Amino acid sequence: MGMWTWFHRLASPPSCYRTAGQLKPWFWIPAVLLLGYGLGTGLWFAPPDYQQGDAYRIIYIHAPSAWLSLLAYTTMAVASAVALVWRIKLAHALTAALAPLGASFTLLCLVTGSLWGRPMWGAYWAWDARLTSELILLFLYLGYMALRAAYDERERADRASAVLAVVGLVNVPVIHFSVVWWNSLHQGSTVIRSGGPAMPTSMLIPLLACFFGFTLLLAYLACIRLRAEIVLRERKPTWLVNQGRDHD
Amino acid sequence: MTRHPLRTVLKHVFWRELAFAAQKPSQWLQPLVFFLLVITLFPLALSPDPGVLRTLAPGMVWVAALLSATLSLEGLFRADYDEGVLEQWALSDHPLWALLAVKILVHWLFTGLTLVVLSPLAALSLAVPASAWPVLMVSLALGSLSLSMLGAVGAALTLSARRSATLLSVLMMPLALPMLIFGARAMDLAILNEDPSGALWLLSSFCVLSVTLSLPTVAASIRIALE
Amino acid sequence: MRGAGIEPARLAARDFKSRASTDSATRAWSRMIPELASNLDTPSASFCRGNGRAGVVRTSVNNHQMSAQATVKCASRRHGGDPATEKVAFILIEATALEFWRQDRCVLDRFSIHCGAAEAVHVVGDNGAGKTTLLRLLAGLVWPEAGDLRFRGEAYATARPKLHRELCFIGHGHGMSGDLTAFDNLRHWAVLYTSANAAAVESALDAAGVGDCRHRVVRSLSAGQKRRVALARLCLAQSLPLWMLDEPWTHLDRDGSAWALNLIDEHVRRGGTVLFSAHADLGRHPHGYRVVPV
Repeated sequence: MGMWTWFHRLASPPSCYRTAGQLKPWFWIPAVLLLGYGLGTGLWFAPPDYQQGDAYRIIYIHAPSAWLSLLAYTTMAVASAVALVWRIKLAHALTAALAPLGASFTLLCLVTGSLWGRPMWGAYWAWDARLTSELILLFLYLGYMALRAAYDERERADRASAVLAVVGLVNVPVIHFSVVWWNSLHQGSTVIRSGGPAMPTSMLIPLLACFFGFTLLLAYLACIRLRAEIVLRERKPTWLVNQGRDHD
Repeated sequence: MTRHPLRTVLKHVFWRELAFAAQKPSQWLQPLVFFLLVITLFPLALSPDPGVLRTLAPGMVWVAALLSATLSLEGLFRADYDEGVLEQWALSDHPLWALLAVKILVHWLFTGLTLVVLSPLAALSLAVPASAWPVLMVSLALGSLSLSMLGAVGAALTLSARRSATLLSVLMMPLALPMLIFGARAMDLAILNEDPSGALWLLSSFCVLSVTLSLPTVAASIRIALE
Repeated sequence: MRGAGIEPARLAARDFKSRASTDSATRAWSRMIPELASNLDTPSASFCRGNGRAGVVRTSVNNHQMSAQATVKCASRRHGGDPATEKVAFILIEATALEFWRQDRCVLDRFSIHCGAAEAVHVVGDNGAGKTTLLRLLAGLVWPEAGDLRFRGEAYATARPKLHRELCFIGHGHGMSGDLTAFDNLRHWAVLYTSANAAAVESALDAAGVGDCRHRVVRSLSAGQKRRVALARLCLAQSLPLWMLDEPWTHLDRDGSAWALNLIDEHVRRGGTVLFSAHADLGRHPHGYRVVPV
């Protein structure tokens, strides 16, 4: 019962707005520290890979952004499912907040992957399984945002795009499997190897730091966008006026 | 008993949809013409050499089928939604997914199955050997069925949105990707006289998955569109 | 509590606070129920079950095989009050504090409505007041943002299938396919909602005054004829106790309006409920008429 009331209290816009604001420093400060360490070490201080030289360093941005694009999509789909089943409006706001962030990280992943490909196989693009899956994920994000933009009324946009997000998530494993299967048949392009089968600790720890740092960065950005979405959707903004009067 | 059993209702809906399709043949004939047109464009744009065409045939046939399917699915629910018939279906006591399933099935009979019947024509023009035609037809049948189901979900989601020519395609194509990969692979194997059963089994399992997951989703999406 | 017809049963209690000690309350309205039931135009009534707060009276209207099951809520007993004068209400649909927003506009703000058996509830309001939205909310097509919707005491979340089993909803549009004939459209609706056969459909069309249009495509009919075909459903909807009609009188001429009013009147007399919205004033009020402004 206590958990349920906590959940319900969190699901009210004012408390969520307040909580998101309070959580912000908890996200960006560790993110800056972790990213500072991870990117700094990875991009400058870690030793170069004996096979790929300095070019592998882009993995410190490429791998976390791939992970984040999937994390963001999963969170969107879970939030959409919660919103559809329990009719919680805040979950729709969270989904709308995450969509452009996830799409940006997917784009970052594709761009860094393509930049990595240039020294590796001499071309900016190759139809490798992971990159193709990321491209399809980008199209899923774009489709979601296109559907949301096609509706005039926010409530209908929320509900229709929530269904699309859930349908997309169910399909993501199937799509990934089929792309991997397709790629295994056509042995044309090389597969990006994450620094070899056994990554030395000196490379692994900064990579993990980057993973956590980027995740916290995503959480921080999501908090900012979620607060903006709450303000956008609020219909009786008296509590907002009081909030603004109380601080900054 | 104040209502007919579900069987009678579904039979009635089936004949109603048949009557509609018979009244407006252009609705399902035009996508077929589009399919053949796209098939014609490829040799003109690439090369008329039979060897090249045979290698590229699976991809060309499947891409053309995908495009023509997305075109035909655009207006699947539009008329009934605008006229309020879907509302009456949703308010009747019968399961909405069953009524919609009959509707999608009849749509598939007229757009997908006719595509399957026409596909030997396309295969002939692309220098595909006749031994590969059965595999082509089976894979197209399964693929067009799953395409109809997934496209129905997309059509239901875009019902009350601003009309856009390409929105449904943008939504549907990433979801239809596995079907494209498996189907094209099956046809490829058949052309090379190898055993296509692996790809066909994958295709049929994807078809079953899409049918099972799409039906409740379509019903939910229609209810959302009615809100 | 004796009175003519259903009126005593429609005395709506303003506050429904039931007391915790329920024995006296139970006995009090267990005495009232047979009396109330006998006041309905029903041949038989039986007391089914009861608890401290609510009981169920099952009544059946034999001539139309319709069972109107009404939820009885026991009103609070004031100190020293005479149990015989407890007010009870038969409530079919109860909506409390409904809120509905479209984009940033509030369409319904804490709106409450209830309707019971043998009532013709007229929802009045200006254009854009929310009449259509209200009817769609009560029909279970749309969910409210806030508020409580109950059908026979059960929340809509679980009671929607039961509601749909008893509902005939004619929306603002006519809900018919333009490309099919009037006969086909009505037959399609009859197959979905009733067990009527083709002959019944034909006679319904005749009763609606569009018998000669039965093989004409609906698209080619005039607006008034389309509305008559749409309302011809009501002739077949006698087995559905609850009717919700959104602006049924649009495009109808005087004969058509009188005919529609007759249909509603007969249905209410049979014990059914009609919920309709119109912004015009009706000339004659049907049996059991009540106005609810939006």
